[in-house]
Amino acid sequence: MRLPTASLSRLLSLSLLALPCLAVIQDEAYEVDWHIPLVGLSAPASTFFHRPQPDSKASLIYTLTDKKVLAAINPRDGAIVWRHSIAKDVIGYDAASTKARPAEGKVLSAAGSTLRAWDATDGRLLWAAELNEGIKDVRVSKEQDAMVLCADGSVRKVDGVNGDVIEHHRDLIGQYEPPPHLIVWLPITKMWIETIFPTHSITRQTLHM
Amino acid sequence: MDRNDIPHALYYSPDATYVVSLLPQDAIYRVQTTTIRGIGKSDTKTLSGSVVSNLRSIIFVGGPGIALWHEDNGRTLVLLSLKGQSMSTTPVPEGVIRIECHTSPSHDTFLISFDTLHSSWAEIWKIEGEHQILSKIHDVPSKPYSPTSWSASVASNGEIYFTWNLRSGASEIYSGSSNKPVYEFAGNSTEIQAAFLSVSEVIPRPDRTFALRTFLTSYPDTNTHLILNGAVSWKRPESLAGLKAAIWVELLDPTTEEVEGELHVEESQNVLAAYIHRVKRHVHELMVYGPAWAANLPTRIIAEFTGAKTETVAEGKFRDAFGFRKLIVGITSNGGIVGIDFSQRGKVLWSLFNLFTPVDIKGFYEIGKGVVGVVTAQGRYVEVDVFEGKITRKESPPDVTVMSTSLVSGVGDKKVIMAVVKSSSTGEITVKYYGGEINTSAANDVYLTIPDSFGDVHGYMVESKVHTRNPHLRYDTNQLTHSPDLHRQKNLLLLPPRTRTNHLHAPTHPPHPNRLHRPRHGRPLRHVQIPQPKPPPRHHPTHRQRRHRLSVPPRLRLRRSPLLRNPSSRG
Repeated sequence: MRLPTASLSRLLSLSLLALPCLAVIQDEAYEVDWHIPLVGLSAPASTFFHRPQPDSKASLIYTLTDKKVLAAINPRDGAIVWRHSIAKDVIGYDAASTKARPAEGKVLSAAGSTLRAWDATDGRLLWAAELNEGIKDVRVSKEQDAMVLCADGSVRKVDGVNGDVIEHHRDLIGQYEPPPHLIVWLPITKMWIETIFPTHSITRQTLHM
Repeated sequence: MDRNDIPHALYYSPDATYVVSLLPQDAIYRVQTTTIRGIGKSDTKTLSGSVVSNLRSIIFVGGPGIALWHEDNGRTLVLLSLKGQSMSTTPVPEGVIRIECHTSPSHDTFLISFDTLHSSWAEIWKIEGEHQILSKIHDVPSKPYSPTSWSASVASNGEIYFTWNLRSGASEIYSGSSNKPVYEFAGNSTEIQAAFLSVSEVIPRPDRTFALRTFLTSYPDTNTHLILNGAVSWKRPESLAGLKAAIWVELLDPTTEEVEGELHVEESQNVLAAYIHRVKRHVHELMVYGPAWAANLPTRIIAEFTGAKTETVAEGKFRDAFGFRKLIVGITSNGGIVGIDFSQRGKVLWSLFNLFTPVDIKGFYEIGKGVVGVVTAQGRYVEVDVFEGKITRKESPPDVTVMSTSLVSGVGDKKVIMAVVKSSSTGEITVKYYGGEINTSAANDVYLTIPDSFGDVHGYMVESKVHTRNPHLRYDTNQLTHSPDLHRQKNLLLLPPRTRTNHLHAPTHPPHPNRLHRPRHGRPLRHVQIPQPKPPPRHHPTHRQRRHRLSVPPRLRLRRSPLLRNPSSRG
């Protein structure tokens, strides 16, 4: 349909071009939506200031919470540097014995039957040692090895560099005969499965990952 | 140690590793320590004088090689030196709810802190000599509030300092040498009511002052704060990590709030009176607001063209133009309620504490403009004004277990929470209204289904009479399902027995007639008559299509057509 006032409409459109177009739609990303990262209530024995790099003076706050989250918090502004949930390790075990301990350049977390070493700066998993018993307590020795007390009363020494079990003080148990059980070690490249029978004969199978 | 022993904790020192475990003997436990000096070299000592009631009695095992536990129902605190095996005891006063020990592995001075409900204090102990005797050296005077938090830290000069973190972010630094603080920081934070847990770093400065950095979890909210020299540097809202339930609450619309009363007036009049009322209101508004609006118009138009930012409402109880601003009300796992502003990036506006224990929420609704009601399974009802953050009503009826809740309309604009409650003493199931009276004038037929312990579902109708104090639960005989097992229910209201035909499952299509007496879903159909559906009228077949007699059900056997009967009538 032809507009009877064609010239008027042309004039009107020209007038609109006179003013530069100033309408800008402001993208309200991160204005309207937000995200608050949280960790939970800190456990008393597993919260500490620790230096991620032993030679520099900067320290971070490491905490293990009731939600079984291990987190590193920057003390300058309260932002979370890294956080990991170890709640899956605790399933089926005593949740009250989860512990986090500082070591040189690392943070060790003991939850359920798994002892994990995390890099203190960026939270990378360095190694994880799956023991066959629930862990009750862990301490770090002077040589940065972990002494682990397990629920069956045995004390194991775990190498701090690669997570191998170096010593196993089984003779604390006395006449206790362990049933046949599997010990699985997890060095980074190979997995060994060792079966111990009551006659103390050992068969070992190696799986290459 | 053998397989019956309960290992508890480990302590490592360069010459030996110590394990503290409990030996069960009859009804009690004895503490035993195992010293591991190398492979095969370990010995276990049982402290035969110790009588520990349970595993939680052991308070602490750690540096500098001590173990702490309490005996005698919590009245005596026993300290043991793991290396020298010497023990000391100290009496614990009445009312102590928390005992903690703060140590450092390389120092022989340590601190034991005590908290009651209303006060907190500490004792400084020392372990010395070749026999490692434990002795108390100082008593730190108490503060009249609780909880407070201690933490031990080793400074760069090698000395150990104990930091006492008090309320409002104040703290005192103690060295192990006296019971007076060597330094104090006065705090001014209103958000920290009390300190629950803390870790500190103490930096002694050359001019005998100190710098202090503390990471603190406050109480009763579990938010964490960093306090730098007495001033709060940042705060993390960790109380939100335990959110169990949350609802949205709409803010007020400024344009309708003022005229709401007028609109209600109009609704209740007849058409002509309402029209006159509306015209009068518009004229009044034009006279009051008109000139200001007209004067503002040119500036508004110019502002649109020049791209000036429109004002947005950032705070308060009125919504913004698009309704993005809403409030979130959440219930946390330690029994508190928090109000969160959605538009200010999740800022917590207010929190209320210690309202419900345990947290078992049965109903959480927005029952009015800016009012939220919470019903727990124990029958507790709390009403909160969301804009102010205050509790407006609290009810705790005794002897009530809430099974389920729903929201029904009440008088005026407010809604009412209807709860199906079971009385704990009599087992009777009734309906209770929380938050007001229901609107009896409006048609308020409420139907409920209540499952019983046998897995059957019973249908009820709530009769709302004029006096709605005790609404009566009436069985609805028309619409809902009924189970033949009603006479076995002990915990339901006794109702008159039904006499009409029972329908076990309301059939959506008529069942095949051959399956009348076979159960459909595995339940025997006793005392049930499924109504016979009327078969649809069948098209009469000609004599050629007529089926075999036996395949047609007896009822449906057809008669011969009248057409066939009188062949002479054809044509």
